[in-house]
Amino acid sequence: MTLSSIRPAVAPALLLVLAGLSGCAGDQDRDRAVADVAQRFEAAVEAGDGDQACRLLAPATRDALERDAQEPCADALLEEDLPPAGDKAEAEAEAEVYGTAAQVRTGSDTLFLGRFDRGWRVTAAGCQAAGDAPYECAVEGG
Amino acid sequence: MRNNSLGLFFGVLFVGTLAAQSVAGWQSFNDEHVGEQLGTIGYGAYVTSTDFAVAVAENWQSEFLQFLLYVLATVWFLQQGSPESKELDKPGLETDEEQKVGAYAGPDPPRWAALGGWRTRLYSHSLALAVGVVFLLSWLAQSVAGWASENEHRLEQLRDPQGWGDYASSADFWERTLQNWQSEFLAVGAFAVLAIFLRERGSAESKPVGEPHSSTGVEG
Repeated sequence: MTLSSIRPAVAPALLLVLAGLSGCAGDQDRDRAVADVAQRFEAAVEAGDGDQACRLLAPATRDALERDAQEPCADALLEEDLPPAGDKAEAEAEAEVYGTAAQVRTGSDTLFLGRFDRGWRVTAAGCQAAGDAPYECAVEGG
Repeated sequence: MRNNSLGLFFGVLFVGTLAAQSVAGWQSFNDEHVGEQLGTIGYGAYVTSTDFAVAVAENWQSEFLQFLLYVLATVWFLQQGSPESKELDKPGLETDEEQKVGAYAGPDPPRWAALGGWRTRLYSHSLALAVGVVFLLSWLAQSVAGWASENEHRLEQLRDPQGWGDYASSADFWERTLQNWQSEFLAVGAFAVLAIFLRERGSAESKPVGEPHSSTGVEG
């Protein structure tokens, strides 16, 4: 079997892949955007502004909330036992973002977010760790 | 151009299939996200995503490992009747005379083959070294991209992300790695043996059609 099919261009292409990967972590603007949505969601819930908080929920999470509670999202959300708003600086520091998914610890809560056409949206909130199993969340989709 | 057509042919195939893979992978990624009621992404975001990177890197590493092992194994291991094997009386590194290095260099040798010393020793293994470096870099890229891609899935499942070390010893990483390795080893081993008995007229990878099955180290 000859090796002539191995092209010198492979090495630069590999470097491009590695360069692309370097964008997957440490992107401060992205972490800040994720933490900002989590913060605004928590602040809206704490202020009793259910409409604003619902606008920051992912579509599937909002649908599941309304389906389970049999009432509009804004009312259903405020009836959930969600923790008080956490610390903004801590949320930015504790945001972990991989591709289109993120986790934010605000000090008072752990939230999960997803990236949609209109920006980052909360997919789950009021979450308690359950070992390596999925978090148990007061509000979540599906 | 004809004298370089083999490299050009595979170069064009590589670029074409990589582009096709990126489009198919993008559609598959978004289809999966629609099914899970998650957001979809544009083509540009997909080709710079870890999902695409791991899909590319996991195949690259196994291909270059295949060539690395083939280059090294055929130094010592023989296969009677195979055009992929050296002649049966030549296992090993062979003599300087047979390898045309140092004082035995021919009229137009690669410069480092004739110089002797460390440069000739290094050049004597340059092919395996180059292929080996690309293999290791690709495998590293697979581990980093696979780690980030797996963490994306874990977050979608409302689970904590894991560290790179945990991922590199995880079932996902080794399943991706070993499924590629086993197919490469099967293909190379099968080719070395099939080429004992079967022929492709005119191919450099085949013995001449009329060459006996017992002839070893003869290419067409």
